[in-house]
Amino acid sequence: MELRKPIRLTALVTALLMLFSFTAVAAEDLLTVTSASEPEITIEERETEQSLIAEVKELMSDVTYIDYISLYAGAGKPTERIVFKANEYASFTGTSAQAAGLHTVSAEGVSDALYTPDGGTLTWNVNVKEAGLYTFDIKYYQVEGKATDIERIIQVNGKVPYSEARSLILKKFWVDVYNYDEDGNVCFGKDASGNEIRFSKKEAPRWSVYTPIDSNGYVNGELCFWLEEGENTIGIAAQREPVIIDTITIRPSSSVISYKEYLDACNAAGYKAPEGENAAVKIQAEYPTYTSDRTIYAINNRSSSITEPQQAGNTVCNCIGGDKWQTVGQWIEWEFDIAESGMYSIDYRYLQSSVDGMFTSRTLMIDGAVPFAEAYNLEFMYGRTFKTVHSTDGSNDFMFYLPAGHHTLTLRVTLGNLGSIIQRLKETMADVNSIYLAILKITGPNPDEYTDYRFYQAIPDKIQLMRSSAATLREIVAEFAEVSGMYSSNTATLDNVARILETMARSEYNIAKNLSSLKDYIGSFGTWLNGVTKQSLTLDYIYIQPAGSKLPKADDNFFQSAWFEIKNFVMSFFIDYSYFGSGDEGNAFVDVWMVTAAVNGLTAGRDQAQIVRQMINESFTPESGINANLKLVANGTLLPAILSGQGPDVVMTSGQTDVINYAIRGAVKPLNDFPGFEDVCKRFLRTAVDAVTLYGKTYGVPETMNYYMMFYRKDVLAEMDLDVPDTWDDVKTINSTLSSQNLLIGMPSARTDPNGYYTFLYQMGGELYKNDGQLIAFDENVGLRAFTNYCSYFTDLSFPVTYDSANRFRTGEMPILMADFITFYNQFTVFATELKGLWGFTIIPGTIQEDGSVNHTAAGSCTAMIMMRDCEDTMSAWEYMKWWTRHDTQGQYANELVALLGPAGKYSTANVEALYEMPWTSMELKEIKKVINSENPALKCNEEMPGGYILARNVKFAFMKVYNQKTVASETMLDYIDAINKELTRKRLEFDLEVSDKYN
Amino acid sequence: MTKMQWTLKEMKRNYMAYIMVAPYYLIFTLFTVAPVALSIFFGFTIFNIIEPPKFIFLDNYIRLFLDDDIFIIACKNTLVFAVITGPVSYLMSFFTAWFINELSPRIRAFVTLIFYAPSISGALYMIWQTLFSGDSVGYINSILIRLGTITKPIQFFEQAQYVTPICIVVALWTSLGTAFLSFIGGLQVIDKALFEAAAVDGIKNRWQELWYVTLPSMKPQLMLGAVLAITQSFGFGTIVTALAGFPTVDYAAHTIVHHLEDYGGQRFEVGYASAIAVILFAIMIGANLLVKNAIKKVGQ
Repeated sequence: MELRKPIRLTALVTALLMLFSFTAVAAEDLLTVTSASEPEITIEERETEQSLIAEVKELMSDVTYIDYISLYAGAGKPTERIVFKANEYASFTGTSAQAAGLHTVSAEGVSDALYTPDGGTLTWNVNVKEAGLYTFDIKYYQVEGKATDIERIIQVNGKVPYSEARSLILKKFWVDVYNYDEDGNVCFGKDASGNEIRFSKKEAPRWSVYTPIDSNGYVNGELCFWLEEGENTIGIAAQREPVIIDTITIRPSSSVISYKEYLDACNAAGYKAPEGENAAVKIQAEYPTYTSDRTIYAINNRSSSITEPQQAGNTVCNCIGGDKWQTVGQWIEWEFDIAESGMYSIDYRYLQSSVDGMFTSRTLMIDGAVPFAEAYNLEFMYGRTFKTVHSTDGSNDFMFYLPAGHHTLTLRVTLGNLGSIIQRLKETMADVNSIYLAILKITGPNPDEYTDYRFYQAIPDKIQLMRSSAATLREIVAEFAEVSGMYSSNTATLDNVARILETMARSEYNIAKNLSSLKDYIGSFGTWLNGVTKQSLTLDYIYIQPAGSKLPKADDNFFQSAWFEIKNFVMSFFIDYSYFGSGDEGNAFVDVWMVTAAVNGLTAGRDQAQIVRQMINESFTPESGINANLKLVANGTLLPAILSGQGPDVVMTSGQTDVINYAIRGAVKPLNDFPGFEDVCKRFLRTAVDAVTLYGKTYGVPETMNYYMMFYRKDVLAEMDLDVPDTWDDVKTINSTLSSQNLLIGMPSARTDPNGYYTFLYQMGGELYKNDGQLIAFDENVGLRAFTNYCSYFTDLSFPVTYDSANRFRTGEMPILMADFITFYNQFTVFATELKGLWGFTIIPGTIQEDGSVNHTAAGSCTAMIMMRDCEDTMSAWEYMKWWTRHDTQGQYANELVALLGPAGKYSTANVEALYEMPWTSMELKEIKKVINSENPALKCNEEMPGGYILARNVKFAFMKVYNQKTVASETMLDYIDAINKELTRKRLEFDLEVSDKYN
Repeated sequence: MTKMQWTLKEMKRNYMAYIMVAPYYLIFTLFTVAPVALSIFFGFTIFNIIEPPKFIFLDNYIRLFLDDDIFIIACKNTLVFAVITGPVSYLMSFFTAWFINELSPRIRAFVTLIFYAPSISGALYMIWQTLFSGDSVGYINSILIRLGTITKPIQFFEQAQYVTPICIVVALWTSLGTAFLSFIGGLQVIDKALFEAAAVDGIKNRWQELWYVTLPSMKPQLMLGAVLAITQSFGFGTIVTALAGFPTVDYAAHTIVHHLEDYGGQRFEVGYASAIAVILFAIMIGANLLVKNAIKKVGQ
């Protein structure tokens, strides 16, 4: 007996093992993931500049999806369906920080999902039985944090199969935080003047399935990938934002039935329009259930008096969408209940006044699925006033079968039938741009009409391209007219470009003559293309009524609208537009003024004030028990207000020069002795705090910083095989190559901004002032050398003194440009969307030091928040200043601005942590960290001293003299030293400060 | 009855008239007389808006004339501008008006609009900036480069020898303003009978008619035009700032108004700026008297 026991045990174990392996084999049919070995984790810290250029070259050689799919046109449709878990990945490639972020998490019902960081590439091995075109379903869960979309690249067998797979956007889910009245009904909150305030938004993570679609909207439907028979690797490379992935399903692409089939099926089932009295449902669009973006929120539209609801005088939230809901992929979801099953018509009251003579498109989904193929492209025709329509694709009105019960309705922005046309236009645009650059490289920007440049010999391929581009454009014009049903101002732009290309191609002597017109047309072509891809739509309500019902009234009549305007006019006398109110709670008061000043090219105005107000109500007052009165005032009202004793306690966003100007006249309180001052200073770069410090006393808390970055066109540099310059010596080398091709480098000239000179000064170890601000230090050896060096770029290397940076950077004439970071970034992001991904920025070039290291310091400035001398409750004011510059507050404000203004709303906060947490890509953040970091920042905010205004103008005078009259730089600078020192001395005497004997 | 008593009595009798002019005088005193008086007062002080003024008597004026090189440059520039733009724009306004007056009413209205347009359209003179832009694609630079005259763009607004002439041209271009309109009005209301009488009395040509009949009949308009021309030519600063920035290179086109802005706006020295304003005020009054006397001589 005793012997038998182990035998039995062994048998049992063997049986169990066999059973187990059997199931495993059986399961392998379903789960063919070969996660046999431990995942391999590769850590690589890449050399960025080198790989960037390589990346662009790769990017430019990509095929488009249409070409890709045509390669596999004859292949049969596979049937296999494979599901695998994300945490069974085969390998991970990324930095050590990213690898550390990779881990298994549990989220809402799934215990073994995989958290993937915002960088690095994950791969899985998959075995498929039949080769064929497959698509993926990625089950994902958003990670709360930033208001940025999740962006990924899909690779198949180590290669990105086509360009569309480079930018796959996974949308996040957002919900409105509803506000309820006393009866428990949803309603908008109101501010002090009775204006409705839109709901705030919060992330609403939930499990959702993403199937790859073209994020540009050119391709309709799901994107497919060719998988070979047998082992394949599938890679997902992170671009932006972390995400949690549960499973990935590989399946053949699904097909959707046509409307005819749908209707036939409905008729066959005998569905009828419901007859009940209360069958119709009206959804007020301003109350969405979910939205894909934080930026999609209720808006106020006053153009019609019958918009529901509408009120004269005050603003009410009565619509949704507008220009916040215009980018491909953005969607809104509403919920509704149907009482009686039957055939319904879904109608909309909308305003689409942005794309002249054209329609904008939406994809309609009911309960998460597109009911029939035509619903992919619902069209909303242009009109100057509100319109009502049934769901339509332009030619047919649709009916839908809705069973009784709870449903969701989703409208997603799509380019619809325009998609393929716009894609071809973008390609043509790129071709025309390359033609322009090729000509420019031969002739320079001001070609001589009478020189024979021999274009036919020099660029025969481009001449050919001119002909083919012109032909393509003519074709597109015809198609456009067909799709939109009319010729409009839209096609005129295209016609112009086509005509000029034809003229140029006809004779080579026409080329030089027409170059500048070509440039202008490229500009308007780009602008137009930007406009036409924006699918703006403002929705008032969605009306779901029994099929066959009449449309609701579209717009008010003359008398209604006249009466409404009269009421509005009368009400305008009773509303204080500058007052943003105060909350009711709290016992202490702080008067805060926001000055309408331009920061980063954006003017702080009502929108910004509203955000600040909301943030005060939501976080400052509840936390501190202090109430803040916020007022938006015009620039220049501050001094008179201080003089008359009506000034505020705290002023936001004053330039550093103003801060010191007010401070030396005793209008501003020093902050050094307030509790926690040192901790507050740690939030910023030391140099920003120093800029608002004078003789040991700090007068402000930094809010924003401005500094230069170097922007570069990846494609142009890659084409010429040039690296991004790291030092000024590199700049000189590159410039010789660029200028031989008539290309330029843009650097800020002292004509408008002395910071270019200061940058050289700081990099060479110089300072602005000596003797504690008594004298200027430009006449020191290093100051003169820096000035000579700086001037030589303009005099010897012919850098332009005056130029239009955005336009020249766009055409590629100026592939390297040093410009104010956030201002240019914001401007260019919206100005040239067609160049997305083809430009980047990095730290400005540096000067090589004696020890071989490179000093990249850039000259900059900051704005700060100040406490005025008449402030009585200083502790409350200080609380407010502390709160506003805190990293979460600044971060929230930055996010709100992006939400309000879109990608062009980046805010250059001085709070280092908050700056890092803004929605940058990991590449962008890396570049920013090179400049802004607390250990070794490559930024110096200019020192402010009494009389400092005299510097900029004298640097300008000296610089212009050197440039215009070709005088010796150092001697010229010396001529101006006396004037500067005299003024400094005079100013110092005014404030009883110590002065240099020489000028007294 | 002394003179005083008589005045009081008359005032009482005409109290209605005083009530009627009161609103105007109140506003005039508050917004014109008081600021002038205030700046005369501040001219004797150091005042930085924020702190209370300190009385220093004549120091500001002494410094202005003896220790401020830039003020002397500004005076020179102002005079150059005033002497050129004042009379030229005045004569131009008058002669254009005189010529246009000969046209038939409809065409006259149209041509008037064309000439008047530059001055009503606000910042239209900014097109001159595009024209003279320092960018190599600016119109003038681009043409010059194409012609081969220059190889790199000229910075028109940053080079002393160009700034003043360009600004004067632009100023003249915009100067056909209110004065021009009032001249047209003045020419319209002259009694036709006067011309006939003059013709009977033996006027030989249009010049004689202009000098002996037309001009004397429109002295009020001439006076108004002259006052406007003076204020315009002395207060000429906005155009320079808009075109060439502030301050201009080496103070090449720095006028007294600029100097005032510089001290009042940028350096917070309102006392000093007031002193400058007082001097500008004095110069303008002087010029006014001069012109008044000149206009008296018209037709003699």
